[in-house]
Amino acid sequence: MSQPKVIIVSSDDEKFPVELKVAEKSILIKNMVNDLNPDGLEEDFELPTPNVKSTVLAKVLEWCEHHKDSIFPDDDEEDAKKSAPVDEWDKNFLQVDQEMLYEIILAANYLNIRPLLDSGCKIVAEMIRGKSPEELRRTFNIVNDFSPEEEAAIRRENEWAEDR
Amino acid sequence: MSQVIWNADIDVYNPQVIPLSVARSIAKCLDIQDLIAFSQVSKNTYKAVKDPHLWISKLKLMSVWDTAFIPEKGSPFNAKQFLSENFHNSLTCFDTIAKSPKLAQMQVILIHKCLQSYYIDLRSNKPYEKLKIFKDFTTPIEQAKIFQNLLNFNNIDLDNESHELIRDKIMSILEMFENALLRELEIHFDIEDYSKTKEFVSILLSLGNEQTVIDFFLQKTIFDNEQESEVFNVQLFDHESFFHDDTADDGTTVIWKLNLQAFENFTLDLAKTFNNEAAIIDLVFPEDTPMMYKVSEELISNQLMELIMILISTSKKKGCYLILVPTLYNYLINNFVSKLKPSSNVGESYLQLVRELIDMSYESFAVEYVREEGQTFKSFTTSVIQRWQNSINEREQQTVQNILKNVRVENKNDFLSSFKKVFTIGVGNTSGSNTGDESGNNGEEDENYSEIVAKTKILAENIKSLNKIFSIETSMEILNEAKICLHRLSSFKEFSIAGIRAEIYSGMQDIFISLIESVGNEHVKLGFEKALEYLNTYKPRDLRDIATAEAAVGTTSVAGSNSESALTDQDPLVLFSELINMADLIIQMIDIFYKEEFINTNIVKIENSILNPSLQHKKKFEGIVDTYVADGLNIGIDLLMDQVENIFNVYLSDEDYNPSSSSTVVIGPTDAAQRVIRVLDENIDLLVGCTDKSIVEVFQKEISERFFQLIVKTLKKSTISVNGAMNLISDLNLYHDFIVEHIRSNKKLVIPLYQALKKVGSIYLISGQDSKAIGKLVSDLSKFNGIFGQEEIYEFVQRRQDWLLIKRHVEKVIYGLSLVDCSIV
Repeated sequence: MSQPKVIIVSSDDEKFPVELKVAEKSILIKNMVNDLNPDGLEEDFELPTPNVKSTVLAKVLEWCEHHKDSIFPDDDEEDAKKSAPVDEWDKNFLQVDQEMLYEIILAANYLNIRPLLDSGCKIVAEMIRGKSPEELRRTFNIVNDFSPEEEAAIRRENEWAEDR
Repeated sequence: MSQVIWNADIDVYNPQVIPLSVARSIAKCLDIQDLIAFSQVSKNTYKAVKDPHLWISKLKLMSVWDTAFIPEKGSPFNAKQFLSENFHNSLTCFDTIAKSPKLAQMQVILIHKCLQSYYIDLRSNKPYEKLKIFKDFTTPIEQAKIFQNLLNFNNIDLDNESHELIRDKIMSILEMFENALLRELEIHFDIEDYSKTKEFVSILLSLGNEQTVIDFFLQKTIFDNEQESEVFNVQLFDHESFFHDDTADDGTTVIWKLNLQAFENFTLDLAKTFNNEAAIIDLVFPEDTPMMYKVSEELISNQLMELIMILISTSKKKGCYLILVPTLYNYLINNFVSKLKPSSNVGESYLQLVRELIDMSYESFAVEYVREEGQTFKSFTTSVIQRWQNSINEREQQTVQNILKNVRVENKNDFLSSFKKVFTIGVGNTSGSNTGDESGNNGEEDENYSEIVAKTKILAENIKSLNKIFSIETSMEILNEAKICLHRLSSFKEFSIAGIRAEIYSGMQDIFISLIESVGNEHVKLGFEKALEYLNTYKPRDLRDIATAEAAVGTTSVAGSNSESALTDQDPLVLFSELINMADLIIQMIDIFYKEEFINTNIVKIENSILNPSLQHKKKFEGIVDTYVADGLNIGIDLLMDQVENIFNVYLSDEDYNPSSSSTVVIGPTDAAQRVIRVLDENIDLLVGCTDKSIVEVFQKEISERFFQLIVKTLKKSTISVNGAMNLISDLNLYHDFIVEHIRSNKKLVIPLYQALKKVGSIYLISGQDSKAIGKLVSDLSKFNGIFGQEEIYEFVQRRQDWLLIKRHVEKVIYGLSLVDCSIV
């Protein structure tokens, strides 16, 4: 019969059955499947992802489907990864609104999909260029968790660097 | 299904916080200014930006981290002071970097502060000359430095577009800048302003243009400089001056010799060129630029090489190739190198470097030369040996012809001469004085021989020339040539390429081996073979027959021919021992040669190694000579014994041991015995001192034993009376004393033989009346040292003249009873 599948469940309870090969792009899922099925996958395996919405999960799995046969350079080769520009397909794929982009990055981070995370971060870095901290918080919907004292200290710390 | 905690990072589940790992991933992609803003967004972004790894990786990208200095532990290291001291100047901001993770961020930010304004300036579309850089920095040194710093700073520009753009821009400015520098360099070099030249050289070097500068200098000083390269100018190179015509006034063949003065001048010029170059280079180049090395390489490997090739090909035409190659090499390695002044650009290894470069260029010449040397030596030895061989053959042929000429004469006049013989004999019978005249007139015819006689005569002549079969002079000639060859070869002994040293070594070995081959196999061995052949076919008895025949003809005096034949009789062994003496001398010469040329010169380091085939060949040769000596001596001993037997046959008369009652009894050794001892005396000590002791011993022992057997044989044929016994005992004593006197070793084996013989003599002394005593003596075998068995003793006893009379009595004692005593009761 057909191969057993991994069924990923979004936080809003939508089920996404995918091939093992596709699901394994996530190192988190890959390790999970291997740990719980040491003899290999014999039947469908269900996994809940309690903090990934179905819209985001669909997007992430689309990326995994597209890249199921791609081979990515080793994680440790920091310099090589940095200098390489973003893959053209990824660039188009990530042409989404900022909130969505940020959620994809979070999901990629959470599911441990390094190449997707890197592509996302590169695009985010482009967006960050030239923005102030306040603008950044707004853009990415981040809460300022500094105390006023801390904030003042950091500003002082950076003053001499900004000074021209 | 139970809920599992999937991810250890709790922030992952909080949508309002940037997880630290995400913040780190983003930070990696940010430029310095954005990093500062990013660090102020939240706690996690602050942490991500503070990570020292981030900043260290930027220092690594600018390749200053790995070479940074490590602040000493323990010593008070004031970070603030360090930072403010070293990072205020855009030119020096890269010069002192501390390898401290804590300070990494600060250092990068300070570098950024120093260079950012110039970097942004480059991004604008201003024409080059209006750039801020050229306003702020005016000297070429400063400009070179700031461009280098900016190029380095460009490495951490993460914006791909601006990274490429600015990189290209800096590169194109630098190219123009370098060209301008080169022009300046050339101007200053040409007016010999070396301090300015040095300045420009160091700027160009700091911009990483080592190759350009090296090429420039090579072009300037070697290719374009006619004055400097005059020495190397192939057109002007007077290769003929290296040779001078050494043809003797009367000589028809042209002989060329080397003009050593030309070599001296040549190396002087070479050294001058090198010293000039080295002086300028030391003025202009820093020591870490391998300029002098490049110049030396170019001058030696290309320029000098060409001249060497010309000289070598000229020398081949003039027939002094074998002398030129090592001489030239010696001049280069010794005279030239010793004239070089030190070059601080290369440093202490300068002379070594030049040597190695010369060796490298000389490699192929050396290989060819070694081969040539070996071959020439081989053909030299062959020709020397051939010449000697020819001279021997010629001499032999001449002897043969001289003798055969007479034979032919006889053949033609066969009838006439035999008729004449009859006639002369007839005349001789009538008047004695006439015979004398005839013999005087027909002196030539007197030497006519029959063909067989002639052949024997030829052999006798050959035997006489035994000691001329090989020659010390020829061996010396070869040895001398070998010595010269080895000396030439040893010029290359210190060659810096191991492969060539091995080549030279095996070349030297080859020469020694061909020396042994020629002197040993082709000269001494062939000589010995010939000598053995002569000895084998030599029969002294034939000669004596001829001598007696001649005597019988009656035209030559009997006494003369006798003495002549006696002379030839003893010659072979004497001559052969001379031959042995010579062979021994040759061996010793080779041995001395080997020790001098191979051991004392340290050419052979481990003597008994398989890597030293010379020794093996030498030993083999010595072995061969020993074998021939032994073979020759065997034949010699045969001949000697033949002679001894002959003397017994001819001179020992029956009367000697069995005198008739009428003849007067002469007490003492017989004439025959005295003759025999004389012959032996001449031969037995021949070898003492001229060959191996062991060979002498074997030789003497062999003679003694064979002589003993001969005596026994002779005894068994004689008849001895009691009267004659005195003579016999005198003879036996003579033999015994002779042996005791001459034999120095193996005494225990030899002397008992002769003692036993003396005992045998006493058998005959006992009167026939006392047959019982005879019987007793005969049956007591212990008296004869166990040399003779019962049978033999019995044989001896039978030789008694009165045997038939005493037989019964003696046998009675021996067997207890005789047949006669048996009667039937």
